[in-house]
Amino acid sequence: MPSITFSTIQQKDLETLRNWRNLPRIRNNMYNTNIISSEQQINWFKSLHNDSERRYFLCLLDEKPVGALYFTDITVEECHWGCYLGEERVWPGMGLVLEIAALEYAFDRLQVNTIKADVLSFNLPPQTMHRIFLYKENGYKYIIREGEKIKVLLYTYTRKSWATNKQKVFVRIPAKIVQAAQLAEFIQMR
Amino acid sequence: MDLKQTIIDMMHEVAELTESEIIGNLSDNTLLLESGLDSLGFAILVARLEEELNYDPFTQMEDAVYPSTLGEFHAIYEKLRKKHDSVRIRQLS
Repeated sequence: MPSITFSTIQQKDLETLRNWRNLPRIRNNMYNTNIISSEQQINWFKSLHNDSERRYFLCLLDEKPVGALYFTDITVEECHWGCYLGEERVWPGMGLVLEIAALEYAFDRLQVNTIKADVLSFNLPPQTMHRIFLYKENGYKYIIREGEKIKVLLYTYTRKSWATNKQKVFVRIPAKIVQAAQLAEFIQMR
Repeated sequence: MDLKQTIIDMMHEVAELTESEIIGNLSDNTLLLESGLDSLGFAILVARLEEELNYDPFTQMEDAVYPSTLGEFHAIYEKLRKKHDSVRIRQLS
């Protein structure tokens, strides 16, 4: 069974993350599509220190970095989350593992009551995924990105709904994926 | 049994099941990310192939190597099929 770990981002991970974040297939689905420079990346990393509202993790598959999982705007009540797989060579179904890990971490570790996810309307894979996981689509908003008006779908999940839906969702997913996600470990370095 | 064809046929079945659409003609060079199957689709594909073939290379590999193209995906299954078949022959003899 592949092993999955989520480790707090460290200085040594910055270039890996920056290279992924600058990939067109990833940055085109973000609010900010700018190419991130090395200096910007270091400044961003420094800004994370002592910031209790943001947590960024590197996702390791069999000890090899493959993606990122992050939580932002964390309050006692809620948080936003996002993720991406930087590597193309991953265990088939890794996206599901990230989705499960995000829900479990937010509700069990951050202890928030609501988790939110914003998805640009043309980014279809996370929309399918959120539907499978029975997220609630809570309307939409528009943003202007590089002069273009873009629709953003707003998804939410409450702790109570996840407790109710969890088993229903898990029977739709191959058991090995659920098992690997539940065995995934979060390592916080700071 | 043509393993590659089994994989391709099953990809089409899974696409139908997950209401997704296979993009273009599947070939060895098809990038899995661009095949039209999403994460759930691939997870189901691997589970279905395990039911059909009685092995799952991704949980049995000694050195984990993950595919990015359909050709590599097939090669991983082919490599383990040889091992799997030789074990089965040993058990039968």
